[in-house]
This record gives sequence, structure tokens and C-alpha cells, in this order.
Amino acid sequence: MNDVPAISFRDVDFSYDLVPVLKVVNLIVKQGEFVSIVGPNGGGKTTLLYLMMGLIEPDRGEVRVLGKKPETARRKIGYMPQSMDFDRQFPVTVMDVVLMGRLGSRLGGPYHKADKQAAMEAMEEIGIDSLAKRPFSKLSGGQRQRVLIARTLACNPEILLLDEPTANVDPDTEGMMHEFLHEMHKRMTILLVSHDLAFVSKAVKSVICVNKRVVRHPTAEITPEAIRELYKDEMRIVRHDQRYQNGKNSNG
Amino acid sequence: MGFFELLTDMITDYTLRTVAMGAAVLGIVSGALGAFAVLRKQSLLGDAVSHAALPGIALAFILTRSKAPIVLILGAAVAGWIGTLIVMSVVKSTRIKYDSALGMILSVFFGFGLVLLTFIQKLPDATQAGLDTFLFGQASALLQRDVVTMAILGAIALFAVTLFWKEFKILCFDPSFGGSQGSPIWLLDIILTTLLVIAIVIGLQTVGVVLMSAMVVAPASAARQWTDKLGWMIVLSALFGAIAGVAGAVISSTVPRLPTGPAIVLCISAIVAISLFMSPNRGLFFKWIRERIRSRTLRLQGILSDLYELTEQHQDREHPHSEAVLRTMTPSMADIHGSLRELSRQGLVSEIGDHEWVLTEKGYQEAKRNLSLRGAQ
Repeated sequence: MNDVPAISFRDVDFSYDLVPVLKVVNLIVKQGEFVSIVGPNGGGKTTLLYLMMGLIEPDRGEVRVLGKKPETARRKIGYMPQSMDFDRQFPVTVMDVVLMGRLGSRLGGPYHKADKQAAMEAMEEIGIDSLAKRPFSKLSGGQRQRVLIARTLACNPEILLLDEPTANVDPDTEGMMHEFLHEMHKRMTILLVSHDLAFVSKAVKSVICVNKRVVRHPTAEITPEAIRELYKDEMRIVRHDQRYQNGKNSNG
Repeated sequence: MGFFELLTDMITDYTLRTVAMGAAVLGIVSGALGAFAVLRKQSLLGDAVSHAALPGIALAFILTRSKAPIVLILGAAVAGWIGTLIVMSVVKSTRIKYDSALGMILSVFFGFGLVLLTFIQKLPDATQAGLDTFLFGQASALLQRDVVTMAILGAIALFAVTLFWKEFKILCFDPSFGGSQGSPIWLLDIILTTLLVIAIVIGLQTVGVVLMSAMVVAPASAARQWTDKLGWMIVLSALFGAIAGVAGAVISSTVPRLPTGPAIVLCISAIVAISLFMSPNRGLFFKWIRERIRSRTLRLQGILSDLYELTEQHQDREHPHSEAVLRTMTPSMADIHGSLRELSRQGLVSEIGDHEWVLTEKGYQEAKRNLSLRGAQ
């Protein structure tokens, strides 16, 4: 079973209203890999994730998740959206939010006992079980991020898709994210969308660069030239001294 | 009319009882469904639906020549629903934004509805009179069977809410995550919007198309002030809607020529105002009081630590310090004398001679503790 790739794209094109967003994407992510998706704003990173989850259909080509159609396999995917997407004042408790990870495609009726059990276990794993009854709106940014992680884990995923989990968080939370990803990598495939190349170069071995076209690089090959090529003028200067001093590119 | 007479009227008077029950039903249903609309930031959708319903009512009458509530409600629902779908598809397929689309649909449908009403009034038919009461609502015309129709439709809507409770919660909170879980978000969106349309059309006869949106937005806004839990918010919202409905019905029955719809809307507005000011966590009144207490505590602590600093500089705890010195150390125009009096009441300072103060032992320890706490932060 493990020979089946976690994610595979074959000749995939996608466009929004005739504006091409992704062109001829060919991509394989093996099970157990930890890769990062980088690229400029509007380059198609989130679109790539949406295709993996079957939220949108490709114009051409084929997307497979664990060898199956995304619609069938998406229960195996734990998705963590960008945290800016929703109303922070929304009246829900932490437990409510984590339980959302157990929604599934079954319509109607309340959550089962097993769902609550799984949600509780996910919260214990992240160390937020004491917050279960707190209003989500009263949490700090770091706590909120932990809740979203617990929600992602509650569905027992085999593949994690994280959309910029370290955008707008404090250094403590970023450190926590590092630790969490390191821990999770032992048991699942991880795809991480991030602008933060310092974070990426420390954490992952391979990078998927998305800007209409999709190219895979080992992290060691990410030279300043490659990044400039990818981001063109949009690049902001990111220091990653650590990587380049210890790695092969230490002259830079 | 006294309170007891009103109470007995509520039970014995057919019209008042019917109106009060109808208003309660519409308050409960629009309050509960309105809460979802408000949380989805679709407050104005209610306005568009109710205005868009008017041509539906008129067309239903023209086609059937019947004024049976179920016929008119059905017409209203279909027109309101079509209006909503047009708004959704305009937003999806053009560059026109949500609020502009709502504004357009609302006025186009409402205008068309008014034209149809004028047309109906010119019809040589005795039964046409009274359809324009849908503009501002006329609760006194409610019959028991109307209320039964409203209650059945409302019960169906509320049952659907409990059935799809967890799905609606996700739809409102984080639809893209719900979609990633395989939930049919577009279908849920249509179901919830349809339920909102039902909630609105059952209130039209009582409150009228012009004011109905208040019954969607106001109870939910008031309820949001009191709780951080979705379930409680919806229960409270329904309760506020019901209270406003009954209160408005009763008030309009006691004041001559006061229409019920506006009376209900005034009642719910009063509930909103009270909630905005008086709710314990978010209310402006308690916020103001908390602010006052905090600034007073800070002022007292500031003066205490100033006095402590002077004491330390002089290395003599018995040496008194004048109010004038303390005033120069305080940046604001705070009432130094009054604050010192308050501190003295708490046994933290004592006055020696005229406007000369020293720290008591308790005050000395307190100031020391405050400073070390502040240092620790």
C-alpha cells in the first residue's frame, strides 16, 4: 500500500474565469514525505490545496489522493486553513471547533460519543484539553492556532495540509508549530504552504515551488537565484543564515 | 387598562390572543433564524427577502384571487427565494458586490410589487381590499388558522435547524473547512437561506415587508451581547423575538390606532438598547464601570508608590510629605486629597498635621508588593 503516492497530479490545468492559475502540473508526493509549498501571492498555492481536497475540479488532467479521487479520499486529509479566514468573535467553544474535525460527509443529527472522544484525545495531544469549554473568541492567537491543530487531528488524518500556519503568530507559537510538525511527521505525510523560507528550510527536505508552473526542488537546491526567479519582484528579503552556514552554500 | 385586565384579555379576548400568539410565533422563528443570518454577516439579506416577497404576494393573489394565508405566504416565499438566488448568482458571476446586489434586487422587486398592488386596487373585485396591509403589517386581521399555518411552517424550520445543527454551525463559522471535510456546503447554504425565507414570510402579514428585517437582525444582535455560545444565542434570540412580539401586540391593542408591526419593532429595539448598555460582559454600562474602577485603582496605587518612593529617598518612615509634592509627581489633574483620604480609609496612609502624609506599616508593605509585582511583569 505504501507505494501508492499520497498525492499525485498528472497534467493538471486549472483556471479561474479563463485566467490560467496552474498549468500542466505534474507532481508526486510520496507517503511519509514532508514537503513545503512556496510561491508568490496569487501563484496558485491555495488552489493546489483545493484541488487536492476536491473542492474544485481541474480543467484538464487528473488528481489522485492515496490513489483515489479527492472526493473519496478527503476524509484522510487534515486541512488547516489560514487562520484569518473566519470571524474571531463567532460564538463557539473550543470543543465546538475541535468537533468540526469530526463532521464528515454524513448529514444531520448530533455528533456521536466516539466523535467527542476523538476530539478530546486530539485536544489532550496538543495540551489544550483544559480549554475545552472556553469561548474561542477569548483565546490568544497562539491558543487559537493550537485549537485549529487539534481540529485538524480530530479526523485522524493520514495527510496534513497546512495553509500558512505560522503567518501572524508569535515566536512561541512558531516554535510550538515546529515541534508539532516534527512529531506529526513520524506518522503522516505533511504538505505545508508557507511564505516563511527560514521556517521552511529548517523543517523540510523538499520544496514545491508554485507560480503557475509547479516545480519540485530539494531544499539544498534553493539558492537565492532560484528564489528570485520564483518570486520575481515580489520577494521580500528573508534571512536564513543558519541554513547556508551549515549547508553546502555557506559561501553566500 | 390594568395589568390584570390585560392578562385576562390575553386569555379571553379572541383577537388579542390570536395576535399575541401569532406575534410570538413570528418572533421565535425570525429570532432563531435571524441569528444565523447575523452571524454570517448577511443581516441585510432579510431586508432583501422581505421586500422581494411583495410582488410574490400580489402575483399569488392575481393568479388565484384568494387571500388564504397559505397561498399568499407561498407566493411571498417563492418571490423572496428567487430574489435571494438572484442576489447570490449576481455576486458569484459578476463584479457587483454583495451589498450592491442586495440593494438592486430589493428595490427592483419592491417597486414591481408596488406596481402590482396599484394594479390590484383598480381591479373591479370586492375582495382586493386589504392586500396593501402587507406593507406595514396588520396583526388585527390575523385569524386563528393563520396562526396555525405560521406555527406549522415555523416548527418545520426550527426542526430543520436542530437536525442540521452541527452543519449550520460550520457553514457559519468556517465553510471552507466544512467543504474540506466533504460537507455539501452549497446545499446547506441553500437550505439555511430557504429557512430564513420561511422565517421572514410567516411574519409579513403581522409586521409587514418594510419592517420585517428588524425582526431578523435585532433579536440576534441583542442576544449576542449576553452569551458566547451559539446555542444560547439562538435560544435568547428566539426568546427576545417572542417577548417583543407579544409586548408589541399587547401595546398596540391598548393604544388606539397604533399598528402592531411598528409596535413590535419598537419593543425589539428597546431590548437591543437594553442589551447594548446592560449586558454584563459586553454592555457599555458595565464596561464604563469597570473602566472607572480600574482607573481609580491605578490612581490610588500611583499615589501610594509615589509616597513610598519619597519615604525611601528620605530613609525615614516617620517623615511626612506634603500633598503639594505628591501633586507635582502626578501627571494628571487627579484629586490628590480625595485619593489620599480614600487610602487613609483603607489604612494605608495617615495624615500628620495639615496636608502632610506618611505611609502606615500596612501601606508601606502594600506599596512594596505592588512595585515588585510590576517589576515581575
